[in-house]
Formats: sequence, structure tokens, C-alpha cells
Amino acid sequence: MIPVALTRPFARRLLPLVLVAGSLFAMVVPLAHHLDARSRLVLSARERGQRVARILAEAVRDRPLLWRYDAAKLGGRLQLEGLLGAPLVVRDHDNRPVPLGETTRSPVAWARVPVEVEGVSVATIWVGALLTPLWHESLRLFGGCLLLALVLGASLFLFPVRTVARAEERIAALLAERRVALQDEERRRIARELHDGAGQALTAARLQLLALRKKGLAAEDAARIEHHLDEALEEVRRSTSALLPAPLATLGLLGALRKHVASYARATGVDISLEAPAQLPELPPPVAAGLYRIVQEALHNTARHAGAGRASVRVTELPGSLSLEFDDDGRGFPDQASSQSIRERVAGLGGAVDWPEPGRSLLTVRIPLGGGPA
Amino acid sequence: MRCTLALLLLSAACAGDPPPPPPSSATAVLAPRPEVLAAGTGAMTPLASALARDASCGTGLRVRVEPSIGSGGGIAATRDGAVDLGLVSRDLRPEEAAGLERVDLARDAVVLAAAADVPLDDLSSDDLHRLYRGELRGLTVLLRDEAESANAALEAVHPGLADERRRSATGGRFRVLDHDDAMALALATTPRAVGVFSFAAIRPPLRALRLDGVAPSADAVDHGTWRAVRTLGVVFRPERRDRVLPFLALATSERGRALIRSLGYLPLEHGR
Repeated sequence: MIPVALTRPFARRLLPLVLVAGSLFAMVVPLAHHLDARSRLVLSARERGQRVARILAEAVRDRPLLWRYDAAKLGGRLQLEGLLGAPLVVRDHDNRPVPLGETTRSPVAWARVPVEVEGVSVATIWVGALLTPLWHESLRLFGGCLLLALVLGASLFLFPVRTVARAEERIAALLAERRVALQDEERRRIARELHDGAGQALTAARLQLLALRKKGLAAEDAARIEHHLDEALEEVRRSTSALLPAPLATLGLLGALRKHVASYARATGVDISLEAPAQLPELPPPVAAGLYRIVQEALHNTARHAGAGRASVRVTELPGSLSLEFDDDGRGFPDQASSQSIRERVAGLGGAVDWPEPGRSLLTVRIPLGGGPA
Repeated sequence: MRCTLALLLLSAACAGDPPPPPPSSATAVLAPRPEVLAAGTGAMTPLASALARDASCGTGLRVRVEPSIGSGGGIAATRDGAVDLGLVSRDLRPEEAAGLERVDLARDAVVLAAAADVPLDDLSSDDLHRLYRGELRGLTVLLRDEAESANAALEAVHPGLADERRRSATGGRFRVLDHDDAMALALATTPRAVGVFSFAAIRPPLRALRLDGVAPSADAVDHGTWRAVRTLGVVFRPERRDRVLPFLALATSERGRALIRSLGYLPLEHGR
């Protein structure tokens, strides 16, 4: 498979963005709520302070000299008016405490309200809004937002990364497929060049040599030259056959496989069986060439590395795909090059391979027909 | 982003006003005055005012009686030196009594005052409880605040009445008034109103209702037939004794006691 490095760089760039966005979300929402609620608490405290201020101003008008000593009565009135539920501090104009209400050690937001009678400042009131419940509420909200940010952040990170990873796999498979196709095309071109060029020239030379022989060339010399020409021709055939499975073009996949199996069995002495349907659908050239090469590679492994005496090849047409099963009684696929070649070809065709356990040779390859995955 | 967060945190910390500064420890000493200044319970306002008028006419002693600030307020103002005489209608708590001298002058009948349009002259004890529970239709009860000594005097005689008063007050069934002058005004202006009041402070068209057939009066207090009673007195700092002594001498004299009795209080034989 051709390595395509997309996912890791993408994840490295996406992660900080997701972390920043999640952190902002987790912090800004509770902070905004806290600020808003705190402002409303202070506003409410200020309104309460203004009500207290009105009552105090009335007391000061009634008892201008000694109003601050009427605190007990004033406290009772404030209690009845429901104005003593929160921290309250009252100071006269000399900043002396007036014993009204209670203060607290808890965190408090203060609202300061002056008390004036006929334009003269007579006292100042501080009404407190307890912040502890607000802090608890904001922390609960922060926890909820943090949890939500984690879930959203994980989704925002994992979903695109997985999508990119799938795209990376697809691109790698397409590149491998394209590489195989390009290789086959290149081999086909070279084979054609050899066949049409060197092959034709050598054949013509051989025919002319035969004609010269009939005209009196020494038979011994002609035979030597003919032998050299035959060797050259055989070399060209072997080269073109290795570059391009020539039988494919003339016999189709099944015919080419039958011919190769028969000739390979004869050459190696391995007992090879081939099972296949009478006819296969028309296959794209890269698919046919790929399957042919896979069988060639597997049989090559059987003869060269596995030490097998029997081998079997089974081609089965399935809905939407083609299955190729290969097995022998040898030592499996000890040769790394063979197994790597088969893996790359299967991947290049967008297929899947069930690789045998070590020491076993049962290989199952599924190639999709129509472009979808196997 | 750091700056934004810092600004947000700063604005959160700054929402609201600065906290109150440390208080001043100075006490409220008023500027020296030529007159004797008296303040405290509203129950003693008529008595103190009458004595002040008499002293002014007879001896030239000038006494100024401030509007009611309650017994507790009178005690605190006396301790601070803001007034010369504190007017009280209840016992002093130990922490209040330290450093003060007390002279009791009279006993006051705590009564139920009624407006002229109240169609009742007499109440039984059961009626009183029903009245506080809001079960006497057509009548409005005007209550006094929790710290008022008249409540304690009446409720000591009628067990259970305190709870009924508190329930009515906190439930918002009846109005609660803080001072005697506010009670007098409310009684005069509220239709069919009944309220706890000082017998000596009642002026027409208000009148005092009989309770269980007993009419309130100084004699009834003296004979013990009227049991809802509170003791009225004055407190002062020992270092101001010379300043208040002329007033006390008048209040405890035969002339003063006669004046006190004429107001409807029961004067005490000797100052305590």
C-alpha cells in the first residue's frame, strides 16, 4: 500500500482548535451566567436597600435626634416587611454602626444606598447579596458545560478524523490500483515493443537464414546461427510473457489460468487442480491481470518455497464480487516478497484477502466487481 | 483571549459596590444642652411630658421629652450619654443594667383601646383570644411590635395570646405598629379598630374596653383587679444624677405623684 499521510497532520491541527473551542464553551457560558445573575442579585439588593432607606428616612424625620436608638422597633418593622433576609449594614452619617440586621462572613456582593432627608445625608445602607448559592450554581453549570464540551469536542474531533482516515485509506487504495494499472500498461507497452520490434526482426532473420541454408550455406554454420537466433527468440518470448500475461488477451482469464496451470504443472511436477465456472463476466483488464498474477505468484511460492506436491485453485463468482481460493499442502508463504506482492495486488484492486495462519497455505481473495469494496 | 478572560473575571469581581468600611467606635455624645433630655418608651411620654411641663412652670427646670424610641432605645441612648434620662416600661436585662441607676415612678394599666365605632364595651377572655385569631367579625385588631412591653403585660395574664398575636402578625392578618403615637393615629383612623394601648394615653374619642367585666383604672391597678400592668421608671448614669435629680425630686414628690395619678397612672409610694 502506498503510504498517504493525511490523518495524523489533520488530527494534530484539529486537536488544538477543538480544545480551545471546548474550553471557551465550558468557561464562557457559566461565566456569562454568573455575571448576569450577580448583576441581578446586586440590582435586587439595591431595590431592597432603597425600601429600607425609605423606612429609615421616615424614622429620621420622626426622630431626628435619636432615630438610631429606635433600631429595635425599626428592625421589627423591617422584619415584617421581609427586608431582613439578607446581610444588612447601616451606618449613621458619622459611620457609627446602627444595630439593624445582620452581616455575614460569607462572600457577599454589596449594594450601597444613601439615606437622605431633605437633601441631607443622614445614613448609609449596605445591602448584601449572598454569593455562595450563586457560586454553587455557577460551578454546577460549569460542570455541565464541561461535560457537554467534552462530548461535543470528542465528536468534533473524532468524526472528521475518522472521515479523513477513511478517505486516506481510499486514496491509498486508489493509488495502489493506479500503480498496478500503470505497471501493467507499461509492461504491455514494453512487451508489444519487444514482440513487434526485436521479435519480428529475429523471426525475419531466422527465415532468411533458412533460405540461405537451402541455397548452400554450410549446414553446420547455419545450425549454429539458427541456434543462437532460437535462443534470442525464446528470451524475447520469456521477457514478454513475464511483462504481460499474453494469454489473457487471447484466451481470457479462465483460458489463461488453465494454460498456465497446465504448463506450470508440467514444468514443476506439482499436481495442480483448477475449478472455475464455465464462464465469467467480462472483467476489467486490471482485475483480470491482477487475478492472473496472484495465481502466478501463489503457484510460484508453491513450487519455490512451500515444497508442496499438490495445489488447488478455485474461482467462484459471488454476488458483486469474485472469489479466488488457493491452497496447497506445503509450508505456507515463507517468502515475504510473495506475500507482499499478493497483498499489494489485492489492495490495488480494492479487494480483501483472508491470509492463512503461519505454516498454512489456504488463501482467500475477494475482488469487488463494479467498484465497491469486497 | 487571556485579556478577555481577565476582563470578564475582573468585571465579575467588581459587580456591586465596595463593602462597608470599618465602623467608627465613637459613641453618640450629643452636644451639651441646657435642658434635660429624656427619651424611651412611649408609654411614659404622657407622664414625662406632664412632669416636664409642671417642672418648667414651677421650678424653671427645662426637660425635653423626645418621641418614643422604646425602652431598649432609651436604655442604649442613656448608656451612650445621648440622653440624660431613659424612660423604661420593662425590666432591664443584666447587660443593660450595668452602670445605670433606675427609679420606678408609676404603674400603667395595659388596656384594649377601641375607636368610637366599635360596638363593644366589654370583652371576655375568650373574646380576646377570638379577637386575636381574627374570629370576631367586623373588628380590626391593631397589634404592637414584638419588643413592646404592653404585649408582655397583657400576654402574661392571658396565656396563649402571644402565639396568636405572632401568628396574626406574621400571617399579615392585622397591621403591626411600632410606636404609641402610630397606634393612637391608627386607632383614630381605622374603622372598628381595637388595639393594645396604655390606659393613661387614651384620649377621646378612644375608650378602654372592660375585660371580663373589669374596667381599667388606676384604682383597679391598685386593688389588683386589673392585672395587665407594667411598671414605668427612668434610668440614668450615676454621673448625671445631679443633672436629673430635680426632675426625679418632682416626680417622687406629693405634687408629682398627684400629677401622675391625674393622668391615669398609679404612682408608686417610693422610688425603687
